[in-house]
Amino acid sequence: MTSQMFLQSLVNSILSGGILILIAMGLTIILGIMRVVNFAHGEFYMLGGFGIWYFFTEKGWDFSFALLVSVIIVGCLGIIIERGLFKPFRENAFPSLIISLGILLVLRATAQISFGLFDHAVPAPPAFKGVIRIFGASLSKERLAVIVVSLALILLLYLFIRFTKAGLSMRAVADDLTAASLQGMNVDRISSLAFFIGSVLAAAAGCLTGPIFYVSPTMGAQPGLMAFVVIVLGGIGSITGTVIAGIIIGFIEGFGSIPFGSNYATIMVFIVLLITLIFRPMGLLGHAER
Amino acid sequence: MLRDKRAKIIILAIVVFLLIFPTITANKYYLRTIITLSIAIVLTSGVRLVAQTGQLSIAQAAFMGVGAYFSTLMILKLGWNSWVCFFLAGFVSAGIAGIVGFITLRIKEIYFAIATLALNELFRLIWVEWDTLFGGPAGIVNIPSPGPLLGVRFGSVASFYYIAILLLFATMAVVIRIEGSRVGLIFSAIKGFDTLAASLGINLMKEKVKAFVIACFFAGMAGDFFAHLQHFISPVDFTLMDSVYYLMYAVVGGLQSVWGPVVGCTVMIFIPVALRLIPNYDPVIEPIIFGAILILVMRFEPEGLIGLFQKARPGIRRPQEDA
Amino acid sequence: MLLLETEKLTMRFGGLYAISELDMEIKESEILGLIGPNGAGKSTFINVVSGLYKPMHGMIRYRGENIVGLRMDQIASKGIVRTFQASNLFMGFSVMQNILVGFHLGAEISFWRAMLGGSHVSNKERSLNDKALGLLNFFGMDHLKNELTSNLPHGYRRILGVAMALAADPKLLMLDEPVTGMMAEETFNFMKIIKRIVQEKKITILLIEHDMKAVMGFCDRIVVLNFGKKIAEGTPQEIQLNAEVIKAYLGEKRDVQSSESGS
Repeated sequence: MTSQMFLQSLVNSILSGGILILIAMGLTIILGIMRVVNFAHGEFYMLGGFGIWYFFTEKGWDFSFALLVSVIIVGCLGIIIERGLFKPFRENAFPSLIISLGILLVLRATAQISFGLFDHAVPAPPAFKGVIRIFGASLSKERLAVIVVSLALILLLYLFIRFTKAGLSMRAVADDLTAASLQGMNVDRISSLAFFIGSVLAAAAGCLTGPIFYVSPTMGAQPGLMAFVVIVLGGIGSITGTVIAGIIIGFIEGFGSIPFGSNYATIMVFIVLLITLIFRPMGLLGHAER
Repeated sequence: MLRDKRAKIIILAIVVFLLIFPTITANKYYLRTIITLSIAIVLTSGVRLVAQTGQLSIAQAAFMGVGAYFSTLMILKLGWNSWVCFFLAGFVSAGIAGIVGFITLRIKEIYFAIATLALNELFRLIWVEWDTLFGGPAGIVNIPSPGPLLGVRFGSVASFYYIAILLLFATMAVVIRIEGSRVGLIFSAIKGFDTLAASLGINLMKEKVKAFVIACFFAGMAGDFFAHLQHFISPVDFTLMDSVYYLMYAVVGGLQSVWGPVVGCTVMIFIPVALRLIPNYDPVIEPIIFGAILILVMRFEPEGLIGLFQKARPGIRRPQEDA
Repeated sequence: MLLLETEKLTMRFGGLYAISELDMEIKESEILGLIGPNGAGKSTFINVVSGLYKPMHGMIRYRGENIVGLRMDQIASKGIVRTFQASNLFMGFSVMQNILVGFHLGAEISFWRAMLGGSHVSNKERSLNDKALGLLNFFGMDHLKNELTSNLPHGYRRILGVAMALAADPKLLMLDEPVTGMMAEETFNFMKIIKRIVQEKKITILLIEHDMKAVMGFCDRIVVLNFGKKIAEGTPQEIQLNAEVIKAYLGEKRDVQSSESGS
């Protein structure tokens, strides 16, 4: 493997991993706090991508501003969906799962109608066009920037959960909803906050990958599924597990794609998942709950 | 519901009607619609059977594909007899389901649902990537109609029609028998009360795998049938979305009753047909309508259309989850 | 003869030790009472022995065999069956259906037989039905056989839970607060039935209860837990006079009083 291929794969791995972790973290938070299974999570990623396409490419706004607006819109959409559709089914995995499938169908078809069935390109922001030469390899500035931003967001999320009052409340609710509400915590508000954050993270991931790959109404399918694979591999309920699983899968995709093709890499990910489930049915860091 | 004399007569009437239908009309469109409907009901019944043990399978289409590819390869590459493959497809599909089920049915229900999603994709990718064996994205063409059986030639739409409805009757017979026997009772006991069931000595995983294997057996047979019917299969015939749709039909129809899949499939397959009669109708909005129906059903009548009917007539209902 | 013994059994939830280094013995054919204040670890003990939880460490020996790590259904098939305080019935089923599920272990009807039917199955099913009716009769519930569980009054619900557990043909039956919510007369009748079961079917019983009349009146021996540890063990008379036990039940109040008065 040449130095170019190696560094490229490394960058792609961290990029994939970072994006996956962003999406999967959002999912873990929603699942952990509300016990709601949201199969439509990938569609928020897609909406983020279209947000960037619309505000940055079509309307010509500044990239950062377009990103901010996009994620906030998607976040608010998330709150509306949470309050309107998921609220009666908190703690109830099966109905929320079915409802989320309905939401998936609606969101994807709406995007197809609004934006057409084809891919849209999002050119890179001017500051990040081009490449950097490191150790004799040409690496895309865009991808490096996305890595930095996604790692920053992950760090921000970690600090938020660990050190802010809201984050603490979220953890309390995740632990024991009844106890938390008896303690006077506003479970409704915390749930909406969780859904907002989760949707924002997914949308941000979509905004960041928009310029790198194409934007299309079906772009949420694969990352959406992969995010679930991440949390199953890592162990539902474990944030550290999500991070570790995201890194593992990111590296399989990053180092597997260039030599073997992305389909093979994905097959390898699924096989790793199945093998892990054989020996650790609760995921890498999951709790062996009855 | 089968105890009801009236219900038995209605069902018998429908069976007889279906059997003589092709003699009434030679309209291929009608025959094909019922074929499509039959296949959908077979697969949806599988989803429902697995749901009776408290699990959600979103991979029925993938197992249909397993049966389809297996039969196709055996017939085209090894020259095996179509009718033998018809049944073997079921067993192969069931066997793989057993292995997968053993791995994934061990812990929380949500893990299994996600694993079935991943399985759909995994199979699709294998069919796409391993193109020397499975033909890749282009699929496999020139699948012949099944050979003659007992002197009867197969190839016309009517002949496929009869295979389809016989497969449907067989599936329904099995599902109805399960429902009325101890097997179904144990399945339902597991659905909402697994700890209690386990404390009485019920091996949860064994029962769940049982249901999953049966469901995938019929999915495999349906896949074999599909391959012969279309004479051509490719990975896009067995996607995740198809599996989602079968789940949707099951939920809309009603998971509690064996007739849920029948009602669900019939309604959901005829809605697009009816919609297309509207001028200027663009099928692109179909998923939105389906999504909306799914959300409305879960929100207002989680037991589906059958649940709505049952509210009108009380009586001993099938076991449900503790409210 | 020792039916069940535990050695240094420990179960922890998060930071809390629900049971700690617990050594217990259950002798064959006895009615052993397990009492203690709320949170003492009584239900946890049953949950661990029945396989719902896996203990942090310690041994559980049933007839000499270590059963730690076995699944709930495996433990049940060995003859250890328990009842639940809550969610002890299959809601939405009839009483008869509940009992029939309880007979799963004794059903001996394989999947294929059940599916294909035939005279062998109908005979088996008929004998199963008879057994079920007999069991309901024993508890005075056969007139309710087609009643939906949701329509049952509280007392019958608890009895049905025990009947189902009995259908599973236990050697050791662990009852988790079976008479909670019952009136005095119901309780007395229930405990008499339990006594009959022990004598007629040679079943060993572990009884968790707060109702002291039931416990003291019917148990051969009593073990007292507090904060996950065994603090006393003996006959009902010995336990009633035991100072530690009295303190465990009433001590908290006195402690609170003394801290309030600053002494």
